[in-house]
Amino acid sequence: MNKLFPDQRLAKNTVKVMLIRDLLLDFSGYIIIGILLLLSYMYRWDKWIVWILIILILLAIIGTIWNSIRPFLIYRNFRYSVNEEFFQIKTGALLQVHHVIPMTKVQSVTTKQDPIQHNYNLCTLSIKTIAAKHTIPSLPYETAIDLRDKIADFAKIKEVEV
Amino acid sequence: MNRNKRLHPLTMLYQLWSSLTTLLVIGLYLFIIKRSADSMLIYFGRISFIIICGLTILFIVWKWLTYSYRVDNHAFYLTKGVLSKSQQSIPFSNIQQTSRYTSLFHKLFHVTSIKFETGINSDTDFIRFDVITHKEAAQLEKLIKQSDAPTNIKIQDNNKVLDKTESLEKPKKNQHIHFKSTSKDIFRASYSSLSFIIVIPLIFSIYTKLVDILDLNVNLDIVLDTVFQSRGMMLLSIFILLGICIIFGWIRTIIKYGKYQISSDRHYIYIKRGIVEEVTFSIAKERVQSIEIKQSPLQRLLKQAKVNLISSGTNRHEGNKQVNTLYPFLSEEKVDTLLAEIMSNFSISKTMNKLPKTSCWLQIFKMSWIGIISSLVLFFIKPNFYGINWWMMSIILFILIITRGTLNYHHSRYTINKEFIQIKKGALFTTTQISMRSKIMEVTVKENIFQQKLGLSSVQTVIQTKPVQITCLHDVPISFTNKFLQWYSNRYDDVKIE
Repeated sequence: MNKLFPDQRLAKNTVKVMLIRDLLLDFSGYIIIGILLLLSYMYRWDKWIVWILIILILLAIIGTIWNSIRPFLIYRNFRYSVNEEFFQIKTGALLQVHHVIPMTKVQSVTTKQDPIQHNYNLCTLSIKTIAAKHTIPSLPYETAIDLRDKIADFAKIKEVEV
Repeated sequence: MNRNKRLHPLTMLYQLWSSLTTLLVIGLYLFIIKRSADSMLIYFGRISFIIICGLTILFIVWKWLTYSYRVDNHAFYLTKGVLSKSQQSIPFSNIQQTSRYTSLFHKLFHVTSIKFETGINSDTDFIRFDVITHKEAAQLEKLIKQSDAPTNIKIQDNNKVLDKTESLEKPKKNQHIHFKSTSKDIFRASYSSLSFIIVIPLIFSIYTKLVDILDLNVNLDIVLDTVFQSRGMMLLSIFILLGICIIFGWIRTIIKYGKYQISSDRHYIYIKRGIVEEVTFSIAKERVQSIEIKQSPLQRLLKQAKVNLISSGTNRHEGNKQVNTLYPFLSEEKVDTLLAEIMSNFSISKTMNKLPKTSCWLQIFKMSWIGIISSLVLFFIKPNFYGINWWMMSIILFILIITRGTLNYHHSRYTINKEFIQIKKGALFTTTQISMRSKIMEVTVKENIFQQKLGLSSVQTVIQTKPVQITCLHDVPISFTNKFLQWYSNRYDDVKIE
């Protein structure tokens, strides 16, 4: 049964990196809204613009709260596994989704690293199939590169097309 | 066939023919209907019309001059491009299905058109020869078949190549005919396709077009008044209209589905249909990745079904022009015997599992959100539609939701049978899909919070067609999901690796 259920977890630093990234984005959002509010005050813009900005701020606050919980949830519920036959990903708590992809059907595999991830030596790995793109959001850099080469190697194997 | 060849010269005429219909209408308007008008607009319209006509012809000729193709034993090589040149090679091994289409135009010149569908999702997903001689089309088909076939039958086929007298039109010695539409079939098709109904919008659209183009000022009211004055007159006209409908529907069905023939040999399935316009379709049995059995409510009543053979070259956007349909009005028993005959490598199980009762409730519950929200909206707007109150509307809505959920539950079936998975679903229109494990590209299992509590989950399969076909069955018991995952994880048992 072990074969059927993925058991590998994301990197330990995932939560930290995601939090930093999300909060930075949120922060820049707040700054933009703040500047707009200031401008609207200085140049006496119409009332409706101010209302829209206030609604935006409320939405942003809800977003920030969600963003600060989300990384913990992702880390807790994300599982993956890679072997020569299948690539598997399991995500979600309220809506659990479990993908099983035969290695031979993987079309391409990509690793990506943004500056924050670089700082913590992490990496994003995603594979593309005919139907969709599946992503493992953060892995230790070495593991990701290892996995990428492994998947590329496994995916090279062609099935006899009849 | 090793040199570069141009397409048949008639291709140009055919393409002109295709663009002619739109040009003809505009031409008719500019030069015939508005012949006495001398406004500036019409004048410039005429000039630009002539220029556009000239450019179209020039473009067609240029396109023909710059397009060439070459065929060897393994692939097509295409060179094309009016401004930017491109060269392509399409190996025969990519070709999934072949269809031939002979329209009235083709019949006039004793030629045909042929289309090869590949399993690639890109701009080169098919190769089409708009005009090609029958001989050449047969040659191409034969070439592809030879390269396609496993080595052991290749030798057989090579022997057959020597036999030059045989043509693809005639059934070969080892080609077995499974189905031929009889007049009874046609009759059945004409009423179960409801093709007679199409007459009504047709008459209406012809009428409105005539009024538009010819500025007819016939007053319909006067005509109707005289008709409705006496009861006898009314009955008579209704009968005449009904008669026209039935006869027209019959003729239409004969033209579309007449001379339907399904045959197969050891490795291929051939479908041929049509009287005025002929369509032939051929597919290798090994390339069929799933079988789809579709039923409309009327067809369920009449115990008929439509069967589609799905390969990775199947274009799901084709709609009514679909060529991979076995026969749209097969009786249920005939479906079973026919599939057993031609698709013997597919094992289809008659007994399928029903969903558990809880899934019925869950489906109704899930849809109720829509009902609740729209009821709230209705409550605030309080519309009054011919005396129907908001609460009546919301009751109707809930009845619809419950009926849909119950019907869906009632029709849903699933089973795993050796290397095949069978999923049946749908409320009014049902689809049964039988797919081969090795052709399923990926699977997904989903469980939302309610399903987790009730021990249910949704299973989803993906099959390569154009575009990919995703089939999801909701609310199956978790025991089946585990079996499903286990079953799929053994997929490599029936996959050969190069």
